[in-house]
Amino acid sequence: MQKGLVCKLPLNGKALLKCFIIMKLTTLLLIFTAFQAFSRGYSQDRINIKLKDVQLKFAITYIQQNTKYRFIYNDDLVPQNKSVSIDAKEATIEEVLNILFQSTGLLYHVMDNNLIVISIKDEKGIQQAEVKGVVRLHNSDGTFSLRSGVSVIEKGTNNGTITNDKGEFTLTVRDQSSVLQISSVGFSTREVAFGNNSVPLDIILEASATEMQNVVVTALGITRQKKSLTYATQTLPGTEISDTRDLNLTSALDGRVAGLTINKTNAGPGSSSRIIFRGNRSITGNNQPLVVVDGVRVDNTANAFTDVTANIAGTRDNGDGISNINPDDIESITVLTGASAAALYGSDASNGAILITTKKGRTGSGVGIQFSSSAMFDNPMILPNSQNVYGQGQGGVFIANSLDSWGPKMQGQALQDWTGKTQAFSPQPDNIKDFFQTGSELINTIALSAGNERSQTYFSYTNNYSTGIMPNNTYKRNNLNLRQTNQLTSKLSLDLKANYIEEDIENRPMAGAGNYALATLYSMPRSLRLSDIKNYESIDPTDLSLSQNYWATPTPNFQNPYWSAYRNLYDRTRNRFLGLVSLKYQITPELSIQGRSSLDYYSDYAQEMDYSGSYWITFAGQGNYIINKASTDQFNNDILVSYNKNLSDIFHLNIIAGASLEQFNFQATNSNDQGLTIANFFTLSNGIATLSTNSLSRTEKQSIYADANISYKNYLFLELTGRNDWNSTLPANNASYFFPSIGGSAILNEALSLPKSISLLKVRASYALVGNGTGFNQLKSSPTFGPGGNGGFLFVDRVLHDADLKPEQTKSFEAGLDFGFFNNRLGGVFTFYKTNTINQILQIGVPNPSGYAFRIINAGNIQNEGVEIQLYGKPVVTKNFNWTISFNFGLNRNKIIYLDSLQKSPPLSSPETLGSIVADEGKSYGDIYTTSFMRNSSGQILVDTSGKPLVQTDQTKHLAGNSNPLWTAGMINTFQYKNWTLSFLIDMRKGGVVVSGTQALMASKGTSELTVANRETGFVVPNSVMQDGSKNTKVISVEDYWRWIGSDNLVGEAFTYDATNIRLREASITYNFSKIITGSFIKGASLTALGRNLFFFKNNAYGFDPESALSTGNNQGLEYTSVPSTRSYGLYLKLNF
Amino acid sequence: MKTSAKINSCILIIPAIVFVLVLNSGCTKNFESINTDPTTFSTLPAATIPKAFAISEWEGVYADPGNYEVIHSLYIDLWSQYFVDGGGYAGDRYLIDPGLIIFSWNLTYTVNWPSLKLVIDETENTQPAANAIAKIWKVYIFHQESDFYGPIPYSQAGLGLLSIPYDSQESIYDNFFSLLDSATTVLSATDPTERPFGTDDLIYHGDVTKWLKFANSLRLRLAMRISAIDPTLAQQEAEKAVASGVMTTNADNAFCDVGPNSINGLAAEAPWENMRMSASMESYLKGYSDPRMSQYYSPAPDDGQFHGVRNGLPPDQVPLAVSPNGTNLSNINSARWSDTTQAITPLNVMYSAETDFLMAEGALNGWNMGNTASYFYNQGITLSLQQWGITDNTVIQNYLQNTSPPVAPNDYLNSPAVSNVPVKFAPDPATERQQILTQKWLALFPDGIEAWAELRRTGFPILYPLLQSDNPDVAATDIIRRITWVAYEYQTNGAAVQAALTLLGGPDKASTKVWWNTK
Repeated sequence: MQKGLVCKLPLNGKALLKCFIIMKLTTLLLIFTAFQAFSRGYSQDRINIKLKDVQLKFAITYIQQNTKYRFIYNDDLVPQNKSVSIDAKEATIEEVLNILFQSTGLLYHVMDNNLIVISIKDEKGIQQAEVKGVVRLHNSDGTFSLRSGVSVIEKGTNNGTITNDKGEFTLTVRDQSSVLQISSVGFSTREVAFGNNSVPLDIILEASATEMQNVVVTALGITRQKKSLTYATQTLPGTEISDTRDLNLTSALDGRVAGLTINKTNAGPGSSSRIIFRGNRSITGNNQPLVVVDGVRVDNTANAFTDVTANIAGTRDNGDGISNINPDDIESITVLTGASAAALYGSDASNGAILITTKKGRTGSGVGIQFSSSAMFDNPMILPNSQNVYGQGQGGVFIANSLDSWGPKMQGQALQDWTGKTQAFSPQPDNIKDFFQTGSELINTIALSAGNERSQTYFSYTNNYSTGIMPNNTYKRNNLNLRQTNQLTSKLSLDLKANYIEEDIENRPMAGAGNYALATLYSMPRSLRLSDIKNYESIDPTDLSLSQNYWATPTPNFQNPYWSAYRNLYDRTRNRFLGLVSLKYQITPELSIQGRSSLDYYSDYAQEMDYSGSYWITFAGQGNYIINKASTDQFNNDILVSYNKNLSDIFHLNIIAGASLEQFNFQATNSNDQGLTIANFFTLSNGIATLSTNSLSRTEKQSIYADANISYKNYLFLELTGRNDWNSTLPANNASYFFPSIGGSAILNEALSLPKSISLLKVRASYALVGNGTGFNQLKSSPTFGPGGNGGFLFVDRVLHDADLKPEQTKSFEAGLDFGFFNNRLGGVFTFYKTNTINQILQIGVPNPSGYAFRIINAGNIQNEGVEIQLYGKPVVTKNFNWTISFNFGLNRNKIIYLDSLQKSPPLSSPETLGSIVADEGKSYGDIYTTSFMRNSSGQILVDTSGKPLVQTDQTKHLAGNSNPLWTAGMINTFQYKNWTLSFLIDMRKGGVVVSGTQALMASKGTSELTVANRETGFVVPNSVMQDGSKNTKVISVEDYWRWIGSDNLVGEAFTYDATNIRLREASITYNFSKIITGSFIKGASLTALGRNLFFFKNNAYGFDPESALSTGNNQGLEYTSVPSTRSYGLYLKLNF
Repeated sequence: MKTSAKINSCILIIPAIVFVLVLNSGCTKNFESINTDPTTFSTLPAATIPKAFAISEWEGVYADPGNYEVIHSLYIDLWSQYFVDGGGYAGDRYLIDPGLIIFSWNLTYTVNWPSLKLVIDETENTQPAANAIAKIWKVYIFHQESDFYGPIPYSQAGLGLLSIPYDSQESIYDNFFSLLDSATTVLSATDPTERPFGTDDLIYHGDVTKWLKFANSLRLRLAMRISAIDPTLAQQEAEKAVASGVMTTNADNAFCDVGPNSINGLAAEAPWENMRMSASMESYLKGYSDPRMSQYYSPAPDDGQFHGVRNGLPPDQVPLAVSPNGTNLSNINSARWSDTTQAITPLNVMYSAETDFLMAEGALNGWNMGNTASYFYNQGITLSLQQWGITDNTVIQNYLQNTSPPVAPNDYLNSPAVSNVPVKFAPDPATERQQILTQKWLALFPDGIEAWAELRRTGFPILYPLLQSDNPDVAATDIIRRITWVAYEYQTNGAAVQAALTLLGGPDKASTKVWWNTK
């Protein structure tokens, strides 16, 4: 059948591809519609069937393939040689079966869900036993749910059924000694003896989140028995993700996954995060994992990223891919932390992968409706420490237009200030806090789920409306998700998904120095009234022009923070479509073939509007207007053949082979009017010298791969994989590269006879080699052309290219132990890993007199080794009270073993005033060097004749530290008492440093609390000595000192902080109403009060959250006027109908 | 049944497509075109070469506002005392931020020189006149760079080497003279109607005659620069320059065209309003009743008069010296340099007036310049006044005969007059030399780079000492002597920088004098 179809194809492949791409969006939707009609057509009750002299088994299969009915039966029951004939028109299923089953001794039972159970009559013509029961699922959050589709099978047979949507089932079994096997994904399988029970059974299945799940999704969407895996994975159920109530689902991973480090940009609702598993492997490239949703690769690039190659001036966080995914649609997330796990994905997953499985429609009668609503509120979690003693001025004297707080003591004296009014000169302790508004995140989701055995539909709509803590920052997102799964025939199944996301962000604040509002806010004089500043503009009555109200001489970096918020506008809209078509054909029970096409397409439209009167605009004109348009599409196709065979009673073989084609395209257009002619009329045609530029990048990768998994007695497993990529980014002679992996595992508790208390003991080890290409167009010099002069400028390429780049390679080894005791009441996972990335493709700094700023090389051997530990336990399990605890720990050590034959410590960026990030051979990735105090051999600070510290401006001389933590840990406790559930998550990061530009700025402006001590007396720099070795007695003013080391000659060393912190990451309390409202049309209900990022138990950084990042790039460990991290709290209601 | 089979087959097309696709894509012959960016050049068409010359000119005079700021506005224009940073920026107190100075270094070596080298290589055997002009421009950009630092990478720069030796300034200057020799030889033999680069030459639009005069004037400038360290060579080169024909009229002046996408960096900087008139300028211009004062600066908004402020202003004295929004001080002339003129006002590169002052000094040295020091002195002043729009001969003559000395600026520090030398050319050679250099300083405005170089060479004009120096190596009463080598070079080209210390002949400090600086 398959063959025939391929032959009948009228067009060649290329034409079809073109066609398919053009129809990208519409096709999928059309297919949905078509299919809905198709399944309705099937719902007719009447059957036309004409068969002559066929095997009874064939007749059953035929009905199964061509009608909505499906059969459950034991093979042994159906006679092999029974030949039947039938010719029926518009017959009911009962009429058809009565004819077919004549004189077979078989009984049938047609169930509500079109399932037909075949059983055998006993001699007396009576079924032997009928068992009824209800299955209740005990969720990890403590609630119970009743669900259709739970499988109930008579052990040792094919005889079985599934529950209806009330959780009930009825099954006819052979006799009363039969044992029932009840299973559902995400819950532990139970076996129940039937016995003499005449009362319906009440069976509870326990959630298996922390236990060995039966089945996990692995690379390429291949499902595997968890016990057969040769590497560590961690799966989080969807409820844990959605219950966090954060717009960005990565928040839910924080503290839950061993060996994970997340840094957030804090750029308002829905902002990006940097996710690192098992340390940084790439010095200048991407270190973040691959994100896959239902087999669709999602582009996770945060478009406007700042990498180490850029300066810290900061850019707008344009949002990454993972932040677009709706947490409420998630069924589960599987985290593949290592390269071994992700070897089949190839290069893109050398940093691991996050596999997101979304919800599917359920089977059963009726439509299930879930509704959830949550309201969260945000406030700054931590604010800089400011002083409230000294007010505006310099040299102890009040100056109405000063930027600084080096003025006199604020004692309520009446002074004429910048507004022209005479007001009391008094501290304004809350003027930083009050600038921030209470942010909110309102999320409403409605999800519908319906289906039968053949066709299931899941549809959801989620609306997010959020406001950030920065004034004028809002975020809106609408997610529409449609999932359609179909069993077209007994052999052919279809999975369709369409996900549409619309996101509108207004005025997302910048992280970093570009954040003009916060640079001013943090440093503005402590005596200024926020109420005066709020009046940020004046309108000239004659020509209605705007001008900015500001207290100081305008400079490019500082202006009224409200002006920044309301007159420097940035609006970004994104439309994103994720589509998937997957077809699977079961050729024989052993052999199947699957084809998938997936698309991730999104377009961004951003406009920046700066009103005339914004000081930092360098262009002429009355304001400025910029439009950015970008679109990205990632189009992937793959085909997978799977062969599953019991070689004998003890050997089982599973082979998967496939091929894929991945195409990535990005194009962007930027139009900048370079100044407006008519003031504040924001359109390109109003530009003084509108300039448009475009850019693009495109890559293609072709791959073939295979995976063989052999098991011995289902307790010894061996897995081999191999993949070959052809990558368009590499030179022709290096474009093809092969990488293998090998792994093994043994379930010792099954292989050996161990004490009964050991419920699980598994050892595993794996080794993988993963290759990687580079970015688009990296092989040759690429001069560009642009406007300028009298007829354009030619811009030379400042990068020295290598035309002979080789693929990167990551060698990864891991070994581990999974264990469980006392029926898995206590257990854990331990993993050791070591990865070496060699032939790394780096862009490193070169001496400028070479003629180049950077060069691209194959170099390096970056090693990461570490351990991951997960532990879980259930200290108390009783009828009414349960306590579960889980703990995770990750430790990574990075070492740059070898870098380059010529350059042993190339800078990764031009030196910043704040600090520079250098890759030093023999040291660790993430080392930050800063300016420092000059010291003598005994460590005393050298001062000049005026008593000021001498500053070592050569940043190679002082290693401030490393930005990466020494280790991270998280602990979750859940207490469940009757209908109440209390849960909290504490996490900790130990080590790492952050150099804070905010603190330097605030110190130099006299607003930091550091500047109060000795303010009126001045001081002798402690532990200091004159250059000639004599005692330093020179008193220096506090103003001179902090201005000197905080600004004029910034000493990064003085503003370096330990990033160690422990925080209450999450806490929640839930009340489950389900039992109370039994019998009403509401099937389940719960209400949760929760908080996120509530407080620090310990924070060694001074007045900021050390986990906040300038960007999701590699320039970590530097902080400059970042938006504060937020504390969130709110309510969450869930209803099931 | 039938319907379903049809639909089934429809849906099966998709894996079939996938299959065919995968089979079809077994070849990778498209990879090279996929991996080629059509928005960049794979090979350079000949028409792009003049565009490379254009950017080397525009960037070579630091016209980009960011580059203009980091070399001129934050440092050298303050050290030459054309301006004061009214906000108390530490660059005005001789402190150099390694994170900022890197930008000008980076610009010269990764943009200007590679662009120019491309032009020189591409025109070497095919377009001799264009090649000659490019070589003259090479001398221009590298003489500034070398004068900043002393020894710099020169002969091996731009070759893609990863360790680039530094050349001594002496050898660099030797190469300058030979480059100028070869260029002027070619240009003298070129048909004067030929227009190499056409209007892509932003300075002279390919006028070979003017380039020839520019080259000779540049030779004269360089000759004078080395007049103390190598008097013989200096005289020989200076006389050669004058004999071959230097710039003589304001029509010969070199300006760089600007436009909407290649603006005038000084004009773009001006509205940021920190470029205050210096007290030194105030003292001279007011004392001389110099008509150029209102061309260079705007009156202070408070009283409509011109007021300057002393250089080296420490932040704690800013409130004393600068009123709210700086309305008590004169800023750079906003009629000429502002955001509304940034695409119009051309950038200053080199003037004829300077050439006259060079010849005046040469005549004082006893070199054969073709006329007397006094003649050239008066001619230089006349050309400068005319250049700035003062064409009334009576005004010019009155100025030349003016015997008034500079005046006290009447500032909050009660500073005295900066010096006592008047305009009228003195009879004694020592004063004459000071007068020539004082007038050259006034005429070079706003080219702080050349003014600072000559200030270092001669110690003239007499300027106010800084109020405060933040550089431990340079006292407030001293002139800052050079820019210290960029920290990034120590990181990336360490061995070469260490070796260059011998060439420098002193520690890598801002107080160490470059080769030609004997005074």
